[in-house]
Amino acid sequence: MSTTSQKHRDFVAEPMGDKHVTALSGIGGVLGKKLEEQGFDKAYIVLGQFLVLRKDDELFIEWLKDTCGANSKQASSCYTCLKEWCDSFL
Amino acid sequence: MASIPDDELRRELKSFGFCPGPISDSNRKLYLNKLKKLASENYSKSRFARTQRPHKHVLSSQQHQTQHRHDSLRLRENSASPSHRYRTSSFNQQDSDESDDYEAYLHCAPPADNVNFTSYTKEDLQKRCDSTVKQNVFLDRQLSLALLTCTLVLSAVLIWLVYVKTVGLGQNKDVENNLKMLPVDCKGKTDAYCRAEEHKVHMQLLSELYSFLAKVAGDFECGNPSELKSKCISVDDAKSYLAILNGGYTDRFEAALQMIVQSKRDLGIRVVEPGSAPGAVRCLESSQPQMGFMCRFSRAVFSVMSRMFMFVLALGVLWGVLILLRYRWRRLQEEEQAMYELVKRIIGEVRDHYKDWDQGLEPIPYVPIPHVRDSLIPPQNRQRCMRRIWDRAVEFLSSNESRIRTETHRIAGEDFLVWRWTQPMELSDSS
Repeated sequence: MSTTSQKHRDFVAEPMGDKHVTALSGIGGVLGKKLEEQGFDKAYIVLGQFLVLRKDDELFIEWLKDTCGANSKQASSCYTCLKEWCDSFL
Repeated sequence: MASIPDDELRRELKSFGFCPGPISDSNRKLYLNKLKKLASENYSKSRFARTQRPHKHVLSSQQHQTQHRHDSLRLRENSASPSHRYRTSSFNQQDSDESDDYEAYLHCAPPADNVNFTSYTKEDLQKRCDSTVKQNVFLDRQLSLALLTCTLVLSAVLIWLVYVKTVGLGQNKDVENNLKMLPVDCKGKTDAYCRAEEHKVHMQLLSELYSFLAKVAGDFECGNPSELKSKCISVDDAKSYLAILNGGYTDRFEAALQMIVQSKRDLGIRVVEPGSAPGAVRCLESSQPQMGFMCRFSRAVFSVMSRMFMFVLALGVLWGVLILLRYRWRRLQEEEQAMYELVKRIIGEVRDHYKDWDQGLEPIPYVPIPHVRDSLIPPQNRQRCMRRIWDRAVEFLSSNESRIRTETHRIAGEDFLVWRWTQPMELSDSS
């Protein structure tokens, strides 16, 4: 419980709807911009990639690092965020 | 491995036991890297890597726990609510996938670590709760052990007593020794030596008399085959017997009798005077009857048992009480287990109802208590065997479950006590 941030808790608490990709835990302004450039401007598109990778942690984290240059901590934070969201709403 | 067609890439990955999702532009490079990594790993290890995916701990274990508990929650709910079949079927699929994973590696499944981890944490919690149950079992065992040792000790004591009495009843050696100080004939003289010799003859006479009387008494005590009226032999009969044995005894008979009467030592012969009972003659009887072994044994058993009767009875009663207690404990425990099982199902049912309402499938967020009962308990059990357990479960929920609130509402014109689920959905579940 103490390892999740407020951003994580906010994201996981409700359906993501049309939230921007920067609403994801671990994705700040810089990473958000990079993802936007690649075409991932909304959180649900990143969710799409997450699901296509079969919610696999290694692959998703590797993908995120490759795509926007996130470090391990940011990428794993994003992964956890998406996983929990899926557990609740999917 | 620069560019291989997608289906070949998929096949290669599957051969290492890894199941890729749809391969598209964005993740092709990813899968190629994965294939390279798997190939190199497989080269270094033996083919054992096929059966297990190495689980890299990128995440903290706590986060794992929460998400795995979500999984278990999901699975458990679906098993409890048969009305939501669409969800159940998809999750059943997941179940069968996980079980098949290790057998047919071509069949893809989500990471199976979830189930193991969840069951470990659940078992952990269950172990702590089981400790109280184990205490009861411990007590039970101690009590039964104590009773068992008591019984064994008592039976050992009984057997020892029987043995002592059996052997003791046959003990007459020392008395015989008293009699076997022996004579040489020395008639008519009165000097010290002759008196000593006379004494010896008397003793021999007495020893014969003793064995005769003992035999008679033994026969009399043990079933009386010759149908004597008593074990006391009249003086005349004794005299005639001794005459048969040895003619010289008749003269000395009276003197020997005097000796018996005057002697302070225990000679094993008693003289019964006629004054004690009307019409009785002066007779002799043995104070130490010589009985056969079986006779002695049976008498010993009988006497010991009759004295120890109270103890044996008390022990029997205690055993009975222990058995009853055990039975009662087991019954109580079974009932409690059933009650907790029912409580879990009720919680699942109420939560499902809330979720359905959330999704718009149900009109009201709360569910009447009788409706829950009727959906969980088949009709034949409602009145009789589950009634107590149901009442206890309802009581337990109202006092110990904070996520379910009991309210009163009017539904379709009738007042019902209802249960309302009050917890927001994202928090994890302890069951």
